[in-house]
Amino acid sequence: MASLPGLTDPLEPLNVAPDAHQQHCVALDAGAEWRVRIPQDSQLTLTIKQGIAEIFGTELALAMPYTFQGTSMAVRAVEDVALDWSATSPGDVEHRIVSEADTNASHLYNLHFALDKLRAAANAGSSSSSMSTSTDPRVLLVGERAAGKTSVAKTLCSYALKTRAQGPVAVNLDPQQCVYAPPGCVSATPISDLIDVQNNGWGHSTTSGATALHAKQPLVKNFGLERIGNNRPLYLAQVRQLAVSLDARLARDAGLRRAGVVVDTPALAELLIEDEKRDFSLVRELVALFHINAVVVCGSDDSLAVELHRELPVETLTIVRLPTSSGVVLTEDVQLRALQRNAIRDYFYGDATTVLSPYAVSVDFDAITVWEPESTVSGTLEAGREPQARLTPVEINASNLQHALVAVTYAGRRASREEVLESSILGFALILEVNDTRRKLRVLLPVPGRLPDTALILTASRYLE
Amino acid sequence: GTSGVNGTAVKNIQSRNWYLDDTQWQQFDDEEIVSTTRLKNDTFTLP
Ligand SMILES: Nc1ncnc2c1ncn2[C@@H]1O[C@H](COP(=O)(O)OP(=O)(O)OP(=O)(O)O)[C@@H](O)[C@H]1O
Ligand SMILES: [Mg+2]
Repeated sequence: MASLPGLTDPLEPLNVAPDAHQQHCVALDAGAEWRVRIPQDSQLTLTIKQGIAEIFGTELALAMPYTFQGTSMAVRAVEDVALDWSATSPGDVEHRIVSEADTNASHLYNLHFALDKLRAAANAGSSSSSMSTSTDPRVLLVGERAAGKTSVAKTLCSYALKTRAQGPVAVNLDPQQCVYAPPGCVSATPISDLIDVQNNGWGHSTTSGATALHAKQPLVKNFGLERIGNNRPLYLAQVRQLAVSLDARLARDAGLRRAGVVVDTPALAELLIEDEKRDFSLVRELVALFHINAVVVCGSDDSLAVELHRELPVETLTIVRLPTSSGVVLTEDVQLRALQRNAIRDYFYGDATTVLSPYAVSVDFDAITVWEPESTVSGTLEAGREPQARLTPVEINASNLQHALVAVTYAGRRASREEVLESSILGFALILEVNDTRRKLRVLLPVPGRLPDTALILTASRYLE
Repeated sequence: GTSGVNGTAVKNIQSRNWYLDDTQWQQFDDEEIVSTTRLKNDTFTLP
């Protein structure tokens, strides 16, 4: 999660090629997809001139310019579409058109309609009884790396919004991925309005003012480490807290409960215990925690679905396979770092559509308490000992804290490590500068005011401005 | 005191909200977001 120096910051001016402002036209037949790959250091702007087009299920407005950077995506034509596009370096943009037959759209539609039927059934059931029905769709997306899980999660959430006022709760269980949060988190977010297609992190969590696009109110749990394997018990503890709160929210919000839950998971290899035989205990645990009734296996063949049939309690759930779209592109490590870096920047500074102003404060060493999780990759563990869901104290100095992203908890500064671990988080702060001789730190806060007098937790993310 | 990162005094400038704690989130009604034309979000309190 460390930041890579030298990556182009999207807020910095880009090198603009001579043909940058040239408009290119694309005509799409209904059902076709325009697949585009935009590198990190290039910006693409597109405008729909005619017809209904969507990106991962979210319909695009006509005659509105949309800007993208450092991403792969597909513009799907719901009806015949004409669009214009330009890019800062058009030569670096890879793009092609595929016809409907080469997309997985029909499978995705069928899946959506099957889920929507469940929602309707849940609706009918709730009129006769106030009991929580078990028919509301609770979907777990599972698959190997680059199986299209996250795109499917996004699309299912967006499709649900087309016919209903309330979309499902999007649960992100991949700490490497940033959904309404910086890296290192798991989160649950009611999708109560459109997803921001231009933002690689699905859009903004709420801000102090009105945002151009609907902001979301996520529940965010800080795991703080890069890989689940760095501390499995801690990961599970955070996911449990998330699931418990989600249960409480859904128990009092029938509309949201009916819309359902879409749980996106990390690449399967991250969930399995590194061992000769494939151990699915964590997947089983997730099925139980989120009361999953449908497992959607993203993959290009049936093998994983067959395996899951053996490993999961099929009496209580349905397993379906969704063929991976041929458009899915593996997110390379360098790109993942850039996405994570941008998500941290977005958290404090916003993006081109929503510019935010963070605040820098000066703090004494003596005024803060910092903890860190045990991890297989830091010096917090004695040799041979397995990491526990436990925090250890961090000494305040430059080598530990410089440029670090820290979680700001709700637990008081003198709270016990157990209380800190169980606490919700207010959000994140960035340690800009540590002065060991003056024993002072400069800390960037998302919100104006002083640093809350609460315990901090060091994360594995570093961000150099 | 606080100041903008570039040192200029800032007033009524938009910034990220703190997240809600678990209890507040469990009670939250997303319809409140649509009406966030107000400049201050006062739905949370610091411990
Ligand atoms: N039809 C498509 N056309 C073009 N790009 C696509 C298409 N579907 C998905 N992508 C892109 O491919 C990349 C990988 O897809 P996605 O993130 O959905 O896979 P994943 O299974 O969640 O990957 P990971 O295992 O890394 O979490 C993303 O950048 C996504 O935007
Ligand atoms: Mg993913």
